[in-house]
Amino acid sequence: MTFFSRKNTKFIFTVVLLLFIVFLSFRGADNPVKGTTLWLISPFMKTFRIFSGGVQGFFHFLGSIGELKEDNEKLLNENQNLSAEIARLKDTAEENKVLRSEMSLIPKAKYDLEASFVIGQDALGSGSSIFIDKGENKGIREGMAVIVSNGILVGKINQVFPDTSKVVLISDRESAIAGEVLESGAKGIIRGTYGLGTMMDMISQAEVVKEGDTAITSGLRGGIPRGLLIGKIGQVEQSEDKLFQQATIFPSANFSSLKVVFIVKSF
Amino acid sequence: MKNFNLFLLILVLFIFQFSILGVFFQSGRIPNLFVALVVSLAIIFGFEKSLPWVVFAGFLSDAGSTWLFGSGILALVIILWLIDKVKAIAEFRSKRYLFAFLLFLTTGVSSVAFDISIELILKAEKLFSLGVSSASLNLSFGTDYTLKTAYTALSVIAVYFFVRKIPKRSNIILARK
Repeated sequence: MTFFSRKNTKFIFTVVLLLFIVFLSFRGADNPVKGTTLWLISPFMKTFRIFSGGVQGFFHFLGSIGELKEDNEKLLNENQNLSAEIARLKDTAEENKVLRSEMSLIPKAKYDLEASFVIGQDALGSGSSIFIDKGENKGIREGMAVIVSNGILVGKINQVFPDTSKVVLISDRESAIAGEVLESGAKGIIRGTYGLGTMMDMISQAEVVKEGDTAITSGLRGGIPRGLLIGKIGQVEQSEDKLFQQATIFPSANFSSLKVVFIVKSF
Repeated sequence: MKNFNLFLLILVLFIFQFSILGVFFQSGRIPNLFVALVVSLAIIFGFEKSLPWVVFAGFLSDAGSTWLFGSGILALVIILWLIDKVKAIAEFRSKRYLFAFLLFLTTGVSSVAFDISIELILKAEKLFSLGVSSASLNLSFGTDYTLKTAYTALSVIAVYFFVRKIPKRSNIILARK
């Protein structure tokens, strides 16, 4: 059998053609093939995503039946504690309003939000980006912050297609968001680690950062408002070059169960 | 219409891959169903008959992924060709357990080969275009990656089962052993 058999010739021709396509193609949202394919298929993706979310919820419910009694008792206790907590919070609400204005945190009601369904995720890559069902036609732009209902940051818009967008989660290794520790005001860069981990890097040695502190966005980079919750600070350690501190962050959002997200269009 | 079943199967795999599996599997552990499809197609149909379908599957995988368009198709076509070169696996169809083991092994190795190919393309892209964001699969051969490879290898059972049913329904002639 010669090397240039019909099969091998087909293979070589296909590979050369594909190399040519890869070389000429571009990754951005301007790629019309990608945009059109996603537009065609996004209604199916949305339907099945919502359906599978329901199925997962059902199985989760079945698995938790045994724990219902215990959970019920726990909830009753929690309810009592929360009633006391509400009374205390009413007092601090007024104080919070003053603090919020002092720290230039924008009240969440002022965000111009666009609700969107999560329709899929980059399952073949690192898994740290998701697709949503709103795009350019709804005024979505690259770099906008993406939050969940309680003002918790989950990521930012990375690519915008006509009717869909790709969101890079804060757990992505290449994602970099300006962050701040609420308690001490220490500033740093929040980036993803492998898997779904997140960390705060580039914190000055002069700053005091403690485990359990709250990490928020500092608003120093465009597109992301100040004051969005990111998570709780975990272990704090020295960076490899000993010039900065870095801290692991336990994100407040559960990235694997995102169903609906909100895009901050303006703030 | 004779190939409609295969067309539909690839679309279903796409929906599963990008919309459904992410709900049930932890990020980073999601099996690569397209690799399982390519392994099944290569064994059942051979290189030439599978090529257009692999290109279609790769096209869809590229549509849902971060990397450059064409990278997924290229990686899948190379895997298809390599598996077709190792035809020996098809000889063991009658020896059920050995065949299943070889199928798992081939799929697992193909899954790793797919990721390495994509990573190489991304690295090449980074060389030519500076400032490209997210230009990495963040490959680290830890627990997550091992589980992802294992799940991919296991997923070939279901994919192979469905692909095997197609020739009977659509008069496609199987590749010669």
